[in-house]
Amino acid sequence: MKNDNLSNRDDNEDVDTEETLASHLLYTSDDDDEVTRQDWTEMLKLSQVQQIIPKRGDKDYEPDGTNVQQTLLFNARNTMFDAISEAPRGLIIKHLNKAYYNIGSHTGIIYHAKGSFINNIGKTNSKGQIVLQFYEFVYLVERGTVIPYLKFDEDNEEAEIQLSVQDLYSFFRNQQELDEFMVYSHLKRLGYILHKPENRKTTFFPSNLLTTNNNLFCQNKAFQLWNIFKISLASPLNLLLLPYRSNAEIYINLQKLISHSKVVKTRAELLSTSHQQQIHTEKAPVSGSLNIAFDLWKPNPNFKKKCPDLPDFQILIHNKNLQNFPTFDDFHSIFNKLDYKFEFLDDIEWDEVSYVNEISRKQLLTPKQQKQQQFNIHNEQKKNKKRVSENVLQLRRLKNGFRKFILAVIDDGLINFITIAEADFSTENVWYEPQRNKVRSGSNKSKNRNSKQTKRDKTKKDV
Amino acid sequence: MSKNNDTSQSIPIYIADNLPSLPVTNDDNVTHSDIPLLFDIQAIKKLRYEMDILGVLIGTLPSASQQNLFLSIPLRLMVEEAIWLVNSGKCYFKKLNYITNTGANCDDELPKKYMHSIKNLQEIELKKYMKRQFEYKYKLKLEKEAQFCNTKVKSDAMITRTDFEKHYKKMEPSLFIPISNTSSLIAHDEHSYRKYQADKEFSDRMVRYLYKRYKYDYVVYKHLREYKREQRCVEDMEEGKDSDSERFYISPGSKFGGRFIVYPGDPLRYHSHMIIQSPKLITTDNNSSDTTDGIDLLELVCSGRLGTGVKKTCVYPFINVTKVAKDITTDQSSIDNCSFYSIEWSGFG
Repeated sequence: MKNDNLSNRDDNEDVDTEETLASHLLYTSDDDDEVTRQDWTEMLKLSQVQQIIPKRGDKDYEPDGTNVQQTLLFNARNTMFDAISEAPRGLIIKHLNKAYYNIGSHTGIIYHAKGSFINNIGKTNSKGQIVLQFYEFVYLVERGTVIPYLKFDEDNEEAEIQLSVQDLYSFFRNQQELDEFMVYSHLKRLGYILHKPENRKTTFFPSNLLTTNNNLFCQNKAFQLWNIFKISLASPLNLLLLPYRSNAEIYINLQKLISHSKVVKTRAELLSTSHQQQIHTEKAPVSGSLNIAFDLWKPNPNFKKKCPDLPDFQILIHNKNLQNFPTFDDFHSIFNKLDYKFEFLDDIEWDEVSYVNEISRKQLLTPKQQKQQQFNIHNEQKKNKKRVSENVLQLRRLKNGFRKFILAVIDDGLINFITIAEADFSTENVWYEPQRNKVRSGSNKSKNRNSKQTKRDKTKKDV
Repeated sequence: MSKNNDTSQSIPIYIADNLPSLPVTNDDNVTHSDIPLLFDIQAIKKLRYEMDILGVLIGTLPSASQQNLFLSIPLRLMVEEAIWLVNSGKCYFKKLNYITNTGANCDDELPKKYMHSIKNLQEIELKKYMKRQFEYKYKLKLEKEAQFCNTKVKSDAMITRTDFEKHYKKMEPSLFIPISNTSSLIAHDEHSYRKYQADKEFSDRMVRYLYKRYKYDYVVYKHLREYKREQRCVEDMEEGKDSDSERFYISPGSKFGGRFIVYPGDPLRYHSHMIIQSPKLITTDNNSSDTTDGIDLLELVCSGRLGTGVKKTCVYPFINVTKVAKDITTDQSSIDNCSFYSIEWSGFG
């Protein structure tokens, strides 16, 4: 009966039935492992109506030659190309933002900017015009926020032609610029705020606070003097004169045998390391490959372009096909150049320790901005109010490290973001130390505790 | 070098020309662009439907600009894909950075005249586009008014000049100015400058340059690309099936730690089956003994575990260096120069 009913239906209905059956049968848990699954159907609707990001579609394991799969594939492809074609780039005349590309300075200029994008992108010059870096220019054009033009005759103000996306890509001067643009547009689409580090005046390292390593040197000297009187660990006399009374003492002495490079952990150490002075003298990038490409801020409606706070992250770009992977020395020099919100510093008010021309940023904020900052700090403190045990803190330190940056590795148009952090396994005491019971004489508490213990012991014995 | 020397039927692949004037060398310090791009949606469709070329979309989609899953034009190809397409005659390389060559920033009279002509053409096309938009929107408005008044509007009703002058200014702020994906400079340049010879020379030079840099990866790609067709050709012809439709789809593999990812069909519908690692080389020294690049044991275990975890097969290609052509002009498809080995984590014990 069922087969007869199916055969009497129209072909379309047959296909629908087959589709639902096939998709149900072919669905497996493999779909959860796929990283990129694209269902362009919902995206096509988005070109007409703004909606949330659509769910991902189901996939088959392999072609089985049936018409069902061919039809599904045909529909999927058509939907994808329709979604791309029906989402044209451009603006309505009411919101028109004309941006002019300047070949000489390799920048874009908007004479009369409209829209909220100017809060985070570009710089305002003395004439009130917005000057865009080239990667910002291309991103805004692709997004459909500005329309690109090129003036080709200085004598004639009306001599301008509209550029296309292809024309803009032709203006990229080298491979590195295109890689930077790809990373920039990827992160902007996620909502982050990005700027070049050389344009930033705010710093964690004001020159008037930087100190040399004198104190640490004295400590080291004292330590070295003390070491003269210490007997070598390998010597048999060591065990006679300084016997070990616990496992912890053994581990501590073993730790001293392992040489390690010092990891910067406190604000004083950050400011006192002498090579930080190089940040102020060598701020201009020497070679593009090992320099910080972008400062990255989390989405913030109160972001100030002229006087931003310290960035939340810093990004380095590495093209797998063109460059060798950075060496240990390269990483070391990158860590020394970092200048961002060092999240491993506890209980710190960032506006107080950020400096613009050696003046604390807190002094430069208006009362309203200070109030807003206080409100944000209060909210953050509320979130972090829960006390965490020392073990958990230690695990976090080992896992997250201290100074860190993000390495964006580019391979054929795909970007992988990797966090590289300085970890300190050598000085962390990860061995178990049993707690010693402190018994005080003449205290009521201890008597009660003892009495309770004896009762417990009695109950245990009874059982 | 390319099988079809006629570029009029082929699809242009745009690539920036930063090559030095010196002869082609293997000097890795030379900076150049190895990013082949496509901007025409019809060309992208043709590559996907007819040649099973995927590429990676890298542009922002205007209707959903705050996400990275669905992107738009331009399409970026892998270098190996571009070399294969050009070598097979289906495409040719075209210079991307052409505007500086057309003289957008120089004082000569000829380029300025050319730019003025482009400007005039753009204005004419924009006016036509705006007029069509206005007519469409005006008709929609009339239909809505007619619905409200329960009357009918003729579908072929013409808009009079007075109506146009009366209503256009009111509607003008809501009209859309599009940004084209493809260049109008190039389109007009083709007719006026006849750069066929220059395009061909550039294409040949670029293919030779890129082949020298990506020789071994290209050999692996070519084998994967042509594998199914060779295997199934005779069988499919006997059965009357179209053997061209049975091909692997290949895309960059960095997400899974490999060189390529291979799909049995279009990724829109099918999962990938294989992760192809970077090729290992078999070299022959002066004493005719072969040395092979080894696979690190940890790398082997990692690949096996990764493959099991993501349900894909890890494949290692081995290339015999002596059998690989030094120049793409002498390249011939040969099964001997590359062999593939897959590994699977057995999980005993």
